[in-house]
Amino acid sequence: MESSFNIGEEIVKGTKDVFSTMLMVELESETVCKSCPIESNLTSMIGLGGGIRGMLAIHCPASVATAITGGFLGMNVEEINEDVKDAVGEIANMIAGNLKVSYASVDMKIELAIPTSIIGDSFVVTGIADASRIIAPFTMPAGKFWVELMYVNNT
Amino acid sequence: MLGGNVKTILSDKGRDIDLSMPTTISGRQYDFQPTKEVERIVIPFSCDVGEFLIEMQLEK
Repeated sequence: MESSFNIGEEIVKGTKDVFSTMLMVELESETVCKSCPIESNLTSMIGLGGGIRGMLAIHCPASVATAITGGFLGMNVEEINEDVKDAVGEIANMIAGNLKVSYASVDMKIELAIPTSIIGDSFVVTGIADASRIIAPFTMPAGKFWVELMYVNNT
Repeated sequence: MLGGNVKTILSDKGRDIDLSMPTTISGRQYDFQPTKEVERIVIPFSCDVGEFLIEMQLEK
């Protein structure tokens, strides 16, 4: 893999790209971290296979999840419903799609599984002990959210 | 291990699959749902200490 390839930067770039083209929202990003506190009422995640084994997830508090959906549908959304699940799942799919393109630029082919959503007030998502974890925190007017990549390299 | 068994069964039948990484979700109250149209297979099991479910989702 090329030494200039920084997957954290690719995630930040790919996520900002999805939000500016799909929702006309310019995101603020913070420094990428390995473990930082996450607050989520809706997590949409997608399994990754092929060149890496892992998963990509977007973790949203209710305020952000409903704002994303409202932006998509052009209407006010008050609570987490089917539309919200689908909208955030679609955002996750597009961010994963950008990640797939990023990896392809360094000749690594990855496959995407189907998005799955976890909705609730009190849950945590964890991977396996030896997985690498990259968390990118973002801020939009409705609040903060996080995009996370967990992976192990296939060697 | 269950994923590995499914992989073995499918590859024996000529349809090899890639497994991604195992992920665990834990908490007191949450709901777990597919986002896309999927085919769901849910199999309930029980043992001495209680019941649990095995679920498989496949894209249609």
